[in-house]
Amino acid sequence: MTLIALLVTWILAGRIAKRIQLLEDASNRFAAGESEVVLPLQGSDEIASTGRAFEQMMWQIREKYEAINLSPDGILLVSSNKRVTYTNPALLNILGAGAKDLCGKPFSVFETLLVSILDKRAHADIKKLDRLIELPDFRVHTPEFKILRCIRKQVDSPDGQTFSEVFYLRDITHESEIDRMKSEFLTTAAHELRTPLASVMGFSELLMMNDYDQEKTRYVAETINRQSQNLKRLVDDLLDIARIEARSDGVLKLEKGNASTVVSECCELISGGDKQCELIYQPEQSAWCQIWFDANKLKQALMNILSNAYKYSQEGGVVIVDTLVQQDNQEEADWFGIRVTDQGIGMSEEQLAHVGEKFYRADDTGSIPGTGLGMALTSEIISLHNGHMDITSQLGQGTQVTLWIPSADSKVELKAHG
Amino acid sequence: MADKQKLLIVDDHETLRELLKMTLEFTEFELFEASDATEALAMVAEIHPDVIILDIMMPGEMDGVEVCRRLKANPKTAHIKIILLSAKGQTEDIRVGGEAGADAYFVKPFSPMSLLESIKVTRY
Repeated sequence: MTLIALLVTWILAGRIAKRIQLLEDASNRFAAGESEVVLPLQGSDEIASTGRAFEQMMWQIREKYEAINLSPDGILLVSSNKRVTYTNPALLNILGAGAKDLCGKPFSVFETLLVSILDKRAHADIKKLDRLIELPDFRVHTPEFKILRCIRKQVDSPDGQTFSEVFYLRDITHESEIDRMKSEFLTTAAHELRTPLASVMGFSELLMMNDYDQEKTRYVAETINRQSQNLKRLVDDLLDIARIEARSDGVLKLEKGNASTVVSECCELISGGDKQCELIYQPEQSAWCQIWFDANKLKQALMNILSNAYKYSQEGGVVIVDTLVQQDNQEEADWFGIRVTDQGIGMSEEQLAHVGEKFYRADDTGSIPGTGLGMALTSEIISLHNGHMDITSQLGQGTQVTLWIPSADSKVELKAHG
Repeated sequence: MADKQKLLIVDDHETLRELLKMTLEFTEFELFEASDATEALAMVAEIHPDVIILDIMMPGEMDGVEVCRRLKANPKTAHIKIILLSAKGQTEDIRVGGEAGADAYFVKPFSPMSLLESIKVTRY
């Protein structure tokens, strides 16, 4: 009887020892970085429940690992003995090829890499990572130019004697660029508003302080009125640009048709003006195809092009409007083009490069009215239609602008459906 | 009485030149105008103005600050009173104008009457 009891105890103890061994092996192997381990999960005793808790813990760690792997921000771990133990895929994207084999290397390799890609002009005095971390952001060439932000966090070891470190790197190039463009836009917009405002404020003060005769009073009032209209146009254009860029009314009111009404309406509107320019438009000799378009927006875009052609033409100049359909075999699409050709002052290559920039004006003397926002607006409208704009120009010879919009049966999908 | 004092208006915007001319029409000044930096420098050499009202942002290679710097650096023209007039109104812009040697700096939009006041101040 005693013997049987002893035997049972011995067998049981052996089984328990084996399962505990399994648990110990698993935790050692998992700590060493293995992800597939065998755990004692059978049964309902303490060992099985420890095994299940262990499995749960492994799962949670794996979830966090996947999250780090998916992060668009770069993450690098450094062990307490100053070696890189982990880099996530985003870190390689951010730091470029130099970061490829960082894992396992001493921490100093990472430090050297960061310092070596720094923009020498912006950070000539920075030789150590400690200094770099103090910066809000820093500029690098990987060789691609980037603006990065780095955060460092210490993780104390359980005994509090040593620590490992987490380095977090974020690529903020895009948001910095957008911030810069926004503030530049606001500054320029404010400048542009100041000039007509100076006339309104100045002339009205003159009117208040002087006893002008009727003719002069009328002249001053007319000037104030004209400059107020300039101001209004600027504010309208600015709002249009803001709306279109924010895509807040980005939903185009699309209709399908050949847009011939838009073209002829614009031609009528523009030739009704007082400028002595001849407009040649022969709808019957133009090519048409079905397109998806927002009539109001397209009209706005074409009017901008037409009024530019008129503005920059001399008296007696000729503006030719025609439309064309062109096949694009590569994209299996037909493109519908509205082409406006003038024989005006034209643009140099340098001027041409600035077209579409906000507030850029080929004529800056103020003798030709305009806000410098028209082309930027037109280009936004055409891109909302999934189209593009071609401009050719020669100084003194004239300018040709073509607005291209994909035909309705082409495979080019529209960004916004009505 | 000596010859009338000469005042040169330099601005690329025609309306602004008109505004300045009307502001100054009942003063003792004989008025001249130029629409860019190159023209302004040529006028200075020709008419020897006593006062210049100078816009900063103008088309062409040279801006108003540069014109001011050149005139103040040249002993023959350093005595000319220069009033810079600009849509740029940030502290930094005003500092640059001061460093170029300008006697006064007006930000658009400006009050014609205070501009007149300032010319009287800089005259005597």
